[in-house]
Order: sequence, then C-alpha cells, then structure tokens
Amino acid sequence: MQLHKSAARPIGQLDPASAARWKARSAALCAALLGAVILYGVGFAPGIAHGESHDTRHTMGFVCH
Amino acid sequence: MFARIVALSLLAGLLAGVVATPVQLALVQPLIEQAEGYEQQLEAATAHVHAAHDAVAAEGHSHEAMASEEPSDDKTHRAVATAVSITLAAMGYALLLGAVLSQFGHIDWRRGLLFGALGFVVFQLAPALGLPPEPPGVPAADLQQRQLWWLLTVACTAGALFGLHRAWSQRRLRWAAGALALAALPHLVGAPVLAEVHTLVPARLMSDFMLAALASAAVLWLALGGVLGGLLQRFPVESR
Repeated sequence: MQLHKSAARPIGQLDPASAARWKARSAALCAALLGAVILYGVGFAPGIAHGESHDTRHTMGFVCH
Repeated sequence: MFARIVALSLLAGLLAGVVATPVQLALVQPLIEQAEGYEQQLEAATAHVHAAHDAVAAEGHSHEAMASEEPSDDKTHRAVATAVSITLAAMGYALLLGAVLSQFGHIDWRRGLLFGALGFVVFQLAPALGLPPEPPGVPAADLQQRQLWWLLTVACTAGALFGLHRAWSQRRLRWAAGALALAALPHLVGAPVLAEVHTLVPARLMSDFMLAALASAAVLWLALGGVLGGLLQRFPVESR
C-alpha cells in the first residue's frame, strides 16, 4: 500500500496569515500584561512606594484602601 | 512587534505624564491637602472617643496604618513623587491602549484620541458612577467588595464597547442590545457603599475633588491617546 503525500500541512503549522495574526495577538497580550503589572505596582505596591504614589492613587481612583 | 508596542507605549506614557503632572499639581493637589486637614481632625477626634468610633476608624480611609504609606511632608519631594507615579500609571495604561491599538490596521492621532477617550470611559468614568474618586479622610465600604465591583465595571464597560463595535461593523442590533445590557449590569448590581459616612470633609470639597480628579484623568487619557495614535501612525507596528 502506498501512502499518498498529504497536501495538508503538518499539525502545528499555521498558514502565514493566521500565524501573523497569532503573533500580533500574543505581542499585544504580552504588552497588556506588562501594563497591568506596572499599574498594579503603582496602585498596590506596599511600603515606601505606596506613600509616594498616594496622590496619584487618589486622582486615578485606585481602589487600594 | 512586542518591542515596538512597548517602546511606543512607554514613550507615549512618558509624554502623557509630562502633560498630566502640572494639571494634577494645580488642580487636584490643593484639594487633597485641604482634605488631609479634615482627615487629621477626624483622627484626633476618634482618638479622643476611641471606643465609640472604633468602627469608623477601622473602616475609614485613614492612613494611620504605616508611616511609610504616608506621602512625604516635603512639598518638593511629594510633587516629584506624584510626577513619577502619575507617569508610571500613564505608562501602564499606555501599554493597555497600545495593545488594543496595535490590533487595528490604520491608526492616526485622531483614532488614538478616540481610543484615549474610550479608555477614560472604561477606567475612570464608568467606575466613578458608583465609586467616585474621593479625597483623603472619607471612609468607604469594604475594600474587597469595592475592588470586585471596580473590576466588574471595567470588564463590563470594555466588553460593551467591543460589543457595540461588533454591532456597528456587522449591522446586528442584537449585539448592540446585549452591549448596552452589559454596560448597565454593574450599575444595576450597585456599587458597595456605606450606609452612613462619618467624615469632616465638606460635601463641596468632595464634589470639587471628584471633578478635579476626573478632569485630571481625562487630560492624561486624551494626551495618551493622541500621542500614542500619532506615534503608531509615524512608526506602524508590523502589518498583520
């Protein structure tokens, strides 16, 4: 029995358009996560940083107290 | 692509911080300092009749927990700290905005401005409908409940805007109805508030502060959106 060479791509390989879309999505997701970490740091980091960001937190309405 | 989004967002955040800092210092700072006067009076009063007002002190937005959580007494130090922290907050929001804007094909400063305004609606205006920004010295409801409500409101409002975008691009009325219902949900649930608020801060100062804080945040978001839109127009992230 002869196996036909399949025209389908191997599993895990996307067509270029989807691959580019995934790349764009994951880059955006990583950037957003970084932003969330920074915001968390400004809003909720305990200790000295919390005193320094006091007025900013009041203005931006961070729910931290 | 990730590196470019991050670089442009941080730059936009820096510039927005430069724009928003003077507004914050001129508009909001004096009100915070006024309110702190009342806050100290209240703390002195509660210290006198400690037993009777125990609950107030525990629930209150009082800053007695740790000395390091207090802003500096030195005015210059405090202003610099505020400039740095507001710029960092702008950078954080810039990364969220940059992540969204990078998903659109064509971006210019106008579109950036529009998305900046939407960011203001999602992160400031919608939560402010239930939990308006408050000056120091004003007690608030349970922290976790407020945080939960804040997250719910931000998520629902952002989801609603996405739904409206879908409704518009696909001409589907049902999406629009769902989006509006989603936006209304947290406000129907209702923000957690105290039944009784014991504070010496006058109502006028509270409303002035709310308006000043929202105005200051609006300046930050619009500057952020306009600048980031312009930067993405000039240096587009790789096309999808």
